[in-house]
Amino acid sequence: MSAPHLRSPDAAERRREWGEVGENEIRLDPESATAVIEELNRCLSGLYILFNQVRKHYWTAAGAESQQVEERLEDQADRLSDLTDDLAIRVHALGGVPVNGPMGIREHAPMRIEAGDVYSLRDSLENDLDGYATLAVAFRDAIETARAVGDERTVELLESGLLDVEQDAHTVERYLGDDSLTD
Amino acid sequence: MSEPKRGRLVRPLEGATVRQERESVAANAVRLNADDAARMVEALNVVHAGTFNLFYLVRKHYWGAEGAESGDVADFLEDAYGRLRDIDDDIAERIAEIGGVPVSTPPEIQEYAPVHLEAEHLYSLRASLEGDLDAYATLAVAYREAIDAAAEVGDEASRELLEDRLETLEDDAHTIERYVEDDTLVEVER
Repeated sequence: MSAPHLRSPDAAERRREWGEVGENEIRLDPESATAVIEELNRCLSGLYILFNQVRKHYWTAAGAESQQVEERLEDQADRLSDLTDDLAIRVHALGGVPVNGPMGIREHAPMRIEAGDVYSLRDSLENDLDGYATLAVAFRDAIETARAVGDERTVELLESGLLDVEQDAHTVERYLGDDSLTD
Repeated sequence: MSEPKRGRLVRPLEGATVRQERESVAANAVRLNADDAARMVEALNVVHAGTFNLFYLVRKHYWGAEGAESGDVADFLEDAYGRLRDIDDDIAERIAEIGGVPVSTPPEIQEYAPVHLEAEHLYSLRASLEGDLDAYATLAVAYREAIDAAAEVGDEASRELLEDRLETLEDDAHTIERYVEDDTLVEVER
């Protein structure tokens, strides 16, 4: 399964296998930890995909409204990136390996990756809105799982993240509601 | 290069208007002629894809260092990955400015990137940092090649951008080198 183009340090340097769940510092039983890690990795995969999609859209934005949209999207990418760090570090604390490469992204992906062509700004933003909506669902599922096993710290983390996701989705929605959005 | 590069996850947006096709080079506002612009887009996409991969590599290692409570190294890696992200944004935006399309899907990124990602497992901090150091060196070579290309076609703005960002990369590589040489790094995590 390991792709030949990946760098692979000596096996002796391996601290934890991809997919393996080791001991955690917070005394969550292994089965519960595994369930929460699975959900967090799904969120992480979605965060990766949306982060890169949003970046693509501000790299290539053109049109009358593009300057303002570009700046907003850059801020949104920052928030997605910060959330990614928070969730990945939480996966570490739970004894797991966070999604960190193309294989993991594919394995856990809650959404598709936009093709390499540049689309009109309106179509691009519509796809971003879709991405945010899908991410929000993944966060809600993860919150439910974390709550069911009593992992309150993860619940808090995800709830505050969900708020960011929903606010940024709303910003994109407002752009799309604006008839002057041209390409 | 007419065969579309699509991973299983990659899909075109249904019913959407394509403003510019991937791998095409449009007329640009900066008056580079078409051949020169195409050559620069190619060279900058190599730099962009490599920087993109190194950003992910360093960020992965930041998570690991943070988890292992290697405070100093973790703080540095967090700053360093932030710098890579900003540099990558600047390069990708330059590609768009000269009429190109920055590569954005995983299959295209992996096709262009001189810097390879790491297998998905979690590795020791020392092995991780050694890999990063290698990757910075590989990426610096790609920057120098793009700088040469920019000089040859007379794209002064790209040249200045690349030279400036290369300096940042070299400084960060030097810091990692000092961590790797520090014997206490081993004790921190074992």
